[in-house]
Amino acid sequence: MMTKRYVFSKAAMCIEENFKLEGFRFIKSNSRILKKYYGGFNLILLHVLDYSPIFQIELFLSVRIDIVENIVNDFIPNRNPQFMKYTETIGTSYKELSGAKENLIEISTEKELDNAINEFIKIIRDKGLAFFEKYQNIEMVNAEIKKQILNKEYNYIGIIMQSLSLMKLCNDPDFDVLCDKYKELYVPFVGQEITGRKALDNLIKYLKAM
Amino acid sequence: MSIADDIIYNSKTNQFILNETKYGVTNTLRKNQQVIENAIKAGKEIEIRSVGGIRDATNNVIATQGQKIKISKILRSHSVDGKITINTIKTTWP
Repeated sequence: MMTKRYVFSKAAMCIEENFKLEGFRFIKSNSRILKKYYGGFNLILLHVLDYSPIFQIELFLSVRIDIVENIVNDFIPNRNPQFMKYTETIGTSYKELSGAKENLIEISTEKELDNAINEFIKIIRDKGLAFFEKYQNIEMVNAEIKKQILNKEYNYIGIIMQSLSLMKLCNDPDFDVLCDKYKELYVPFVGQEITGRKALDNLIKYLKAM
Repeated sequence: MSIADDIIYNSKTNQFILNETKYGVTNTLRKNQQVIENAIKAGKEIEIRSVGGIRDATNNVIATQGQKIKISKILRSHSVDGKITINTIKTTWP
């Protein structure tokens, strides 16, 4: 009978094998498939949900831009420094890239697992690599994240702070106008109403003084 | 017994919810799960340790690994036949 660990390890190792030439390595100690480079990394992330004997495998792809994350991690409240080096700047998913209804493939047999892995490899090869390439460019990341916030798709503290930092780093003329707008759009998590707003004010103050 | 713990973010209420779904003959919490449940009920913040944190289906990270959040609600469901439906899910706290 398959276990969660077996499903995850097999999928991660097969994906690593297929994208070794592109520079991806499966880092077992932190369960991520990473391509590191100066200034950030590309990430292939698998989540396996255990509903034995059924498993659901989710696929996420992300890009980290160090210069953005280093600013945000200094201001975001309640974040453990141990994990700050793994925060990500922009992402996509199997659902977005493939047009599938859900961001997962459900499996219960070895054959279904193999099919799921092949499907993930195909979507990464066909569309994922282009995603990684596109968002090497900080200007493209800035434009995309700004669009997502202004379309009111997202209002979490992390993405709001990332967008403000990106605008500042890109010398985006919208920065001054959007500082106040973002403060309106930001919705704190329950329990973080005061700390969240204070952190956002501190970040804006810092960025304006840069 | 197999267990699938999950944290759900409700974007309408801005609340995090702990969903403890259990399949098997018992719904007894393990020692570490009991510690977490007691801490949540005492109003303490919980640090997310899941690799990659909590993200939505389009891969927007809601809260990162290592970020502390407050859990506002605990749901629990229990099934001996491997099937969990909306009718079996119960709020155990508050």
